[in-house]
Amino acid sequence: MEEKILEIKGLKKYFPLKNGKVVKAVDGVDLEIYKGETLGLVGESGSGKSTIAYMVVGMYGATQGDILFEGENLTKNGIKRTRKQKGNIQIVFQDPGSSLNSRTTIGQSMMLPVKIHGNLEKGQREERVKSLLETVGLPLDFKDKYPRSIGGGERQLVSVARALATNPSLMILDEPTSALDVSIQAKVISKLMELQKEFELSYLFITHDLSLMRNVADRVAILYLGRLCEIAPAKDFFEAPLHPYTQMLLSSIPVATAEEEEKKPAKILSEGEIPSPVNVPPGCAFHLRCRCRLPICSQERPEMREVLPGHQVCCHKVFQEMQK
Amino acid sequence: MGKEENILEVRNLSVSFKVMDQVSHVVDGLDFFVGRGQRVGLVGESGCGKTTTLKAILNVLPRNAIWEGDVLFEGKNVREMGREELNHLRRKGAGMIFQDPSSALNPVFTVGDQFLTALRYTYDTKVNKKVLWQQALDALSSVSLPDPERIMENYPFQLSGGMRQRVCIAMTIAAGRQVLLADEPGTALDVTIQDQILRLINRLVEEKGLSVVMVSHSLGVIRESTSYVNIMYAGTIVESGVTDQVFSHPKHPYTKALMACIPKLTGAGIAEGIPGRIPDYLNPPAGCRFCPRCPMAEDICRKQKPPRTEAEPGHWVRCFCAEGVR
Amino acid sequence: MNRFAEKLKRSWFKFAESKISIVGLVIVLAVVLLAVFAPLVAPYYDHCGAYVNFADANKAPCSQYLLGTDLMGRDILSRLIGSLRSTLLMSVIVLSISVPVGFIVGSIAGYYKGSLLDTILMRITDIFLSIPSLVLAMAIAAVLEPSLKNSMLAITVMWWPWYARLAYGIASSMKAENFIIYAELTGAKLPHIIFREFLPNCISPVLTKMTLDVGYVIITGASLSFAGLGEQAPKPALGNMISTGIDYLPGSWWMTIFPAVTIILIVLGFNLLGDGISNIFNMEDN
Repeated sequence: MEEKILEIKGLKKYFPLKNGKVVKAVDGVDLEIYKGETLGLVGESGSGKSTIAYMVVGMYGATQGDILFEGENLTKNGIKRTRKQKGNIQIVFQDPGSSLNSRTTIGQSMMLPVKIHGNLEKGQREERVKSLLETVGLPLDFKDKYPRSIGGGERQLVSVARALATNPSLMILDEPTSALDVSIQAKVISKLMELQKEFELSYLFITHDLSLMRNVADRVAILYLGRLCEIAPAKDFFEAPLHPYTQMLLSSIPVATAEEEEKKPAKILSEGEIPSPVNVPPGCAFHLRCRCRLPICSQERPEMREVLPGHQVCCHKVFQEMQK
Repeated sequence: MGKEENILEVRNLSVSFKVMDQVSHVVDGLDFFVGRGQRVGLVGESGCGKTTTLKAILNVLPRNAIWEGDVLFEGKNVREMGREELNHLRRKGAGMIFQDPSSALNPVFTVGDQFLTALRYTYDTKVNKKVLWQQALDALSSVSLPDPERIMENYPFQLSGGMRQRVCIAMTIAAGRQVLLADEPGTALDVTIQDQILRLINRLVEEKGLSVVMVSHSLGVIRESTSYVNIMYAGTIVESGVTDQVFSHPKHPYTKALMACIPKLTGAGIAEGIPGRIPDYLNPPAGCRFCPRCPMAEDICRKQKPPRTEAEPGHWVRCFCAEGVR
Repeated sequence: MNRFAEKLKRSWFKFAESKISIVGLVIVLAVVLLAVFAPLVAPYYDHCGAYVNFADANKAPCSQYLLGTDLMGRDILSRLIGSLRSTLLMSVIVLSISVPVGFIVGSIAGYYKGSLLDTILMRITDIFLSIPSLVLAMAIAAVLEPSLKNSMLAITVMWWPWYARLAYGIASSMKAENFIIYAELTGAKLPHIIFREFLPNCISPVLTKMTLDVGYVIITGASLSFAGLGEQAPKPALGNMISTGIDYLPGSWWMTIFPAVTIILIVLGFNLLGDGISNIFNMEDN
């Protein structure tokens, strides 16, 4: 668990708009992912969680900052990456409808990474596709089926199998189950957990579903308007959240059992909405919606600090309490 | 159900669709009731016929639909309503809000334009525009939208998802509709915004005596926003009862399995999911529709449809094997 | 194999749902069969050339010559049947060149949407589209020696931009889809993206458009040959038959009316067939 597989340092992504304004989608994020762990990245829409994923996987270049994979800097050549670097990090997208070409068979879709990254003779490629389907627990005759004739959960598993074809060590899971029903989600997640052990994979798991995160992540990072609010081991995170935004998020989750109702933080009535990333408020990005804001919050942007072992938070109020 | 008058009753509703030369039997013998001022939930996974049921209530099923059974709105059968009465039902009786608030509003008209058009149709006679405008403003403030004047001038894309959903709710209740059919109203929104929308609906129920049919796939949403719940599986209601009772003591094997699949905030890990998949509606199982996936299935389940049985007071189950039935 | 049969059955069901597309199919099949077996079917196949028989010249439709004869005494029916081959051949050749060219240009431009390459390719396309197509084709055909081959060339030049536009629209909307992004991230090269990802998605709209276009190509070809820029006498072509007959209207109406009706029937047939085919694809998308 000690070895870092991915290190993100001071990562920023600004999108300039035509009217001269700038969307600060990601605004200074530091993160590490250790070998074999699942890091959960949580945030509301517009928080920049997908932008981070797309930068890690090489879809977008970073405006500033570095992404290091096993110590090797991936950002120095923009989004150009070697074949090996591309194979090391793979992504599974949210929408099972758009991640596979609806007009090609599943076998054809899976053939692409096998062909580019498999180092196999022509005859062996077919076998490799079959063994990948087997690995994710799908029947072999799926090879000749079209995406629309299988279910959403199965399509996501095909995406996972396709990603495994390059023998990656880090997988970005961008809301892999948020379009699925819970009974299907359960199947996909348990398969993902199984594969993680089998192939010693590290996951960057992006979701807005905190209840899911509680059960899959080792550590959780919360993102608000392109900035991190809190990073903590999953257990601490849910039992003793420190950042007011985290507390608000947790208390907003609709839960299905009375037992959870008792555990979750007392209801904090959420106010307002996440502001546009074009107009990030000065100081702490959250202070406009925060119920315990201090005068300093609107002036000075708080730094990320480790306040408890492995538990980092970025809030003036918490810092003051800790000092006492 | 209690003794209060039911504003909406769905009795033995079955809906099938003609698909080419075959027939797809989607909704199969649905019964449920909504009392005045009651919040009733309809939970189930995608493809279980939730939305079809809502469409049947408003009598807006597509033309290839064949339906049986009755939908009674204020005691009148929706199926036997004439054009006038149907228009009355849709304009003043029951209104629907959708999962995706952005596609429910026309992007090329301002909120004000759309609001006035919607309101105008609710009157049989011509009404002064100023009166309608004021009515719209009142409705917008009643859904806690700040600065309603400005929102009336805005185009839908200038509003956030949460605000659009509030506008949709305002448009639905402005005409004095008594029943709100909410089809996954918070699913497309962030949790904090979803929470706000659900709180808003609950407040409207208390203040205006609105009745709500809340359709969702999320058990959490249903638990927090309804008082009575119907669990749907493959076009049938497998379990129904007072929300707290059903959630704390689920009886039907499907409900139990579904509850187990939900990731818990307490961190109990992830279940394996429910084996199998929902039945093929072209050729559904003859008996209980859940029996091919049911761990408790017996011979009788495969042959006969289980009747609606009261397993404990006020808690109904369609299952031969559930506890309290045998 | 079973699945294929099942798919065929479903496609037929959807196709046959509108009875009028069956009419289209029947017309098209009849035209194709007549063209292929022209020497066997035509009552006087030798009339499709430099045949002269002034004894039977300018005869109205009768039992010997069902559709009458022209000024040289040649059977109009035989000449109509004889003209089908070059007519269909023209459509096939024009489309088999302009469709791939248009598809490749359009999908490359669409894939690089917003770049300089996109601007160059699509502005060239727009230039071709902005000139009235028949005028362009006539200009090209007039500069070159008038012949069937050159009229095909002229029509091909004006035809590909429509397919470039079609492919451009599909490719530029599809480039943001996750499966394209995935292919890029995995290291796929341009040919893979164009032929393995875009192409399968273009097949249904392109095929539908092609079926409709067969008719339009025939009209354009007939217009060129009407103006004397297509197939040269004495070989028969629908256009030049009309243009010779037009001087003898209304007296010898059969020389003009029957070729004109033939054009209308063929175009109608392909249009109806095209509608039926687009119904099949619409079903697949749902």
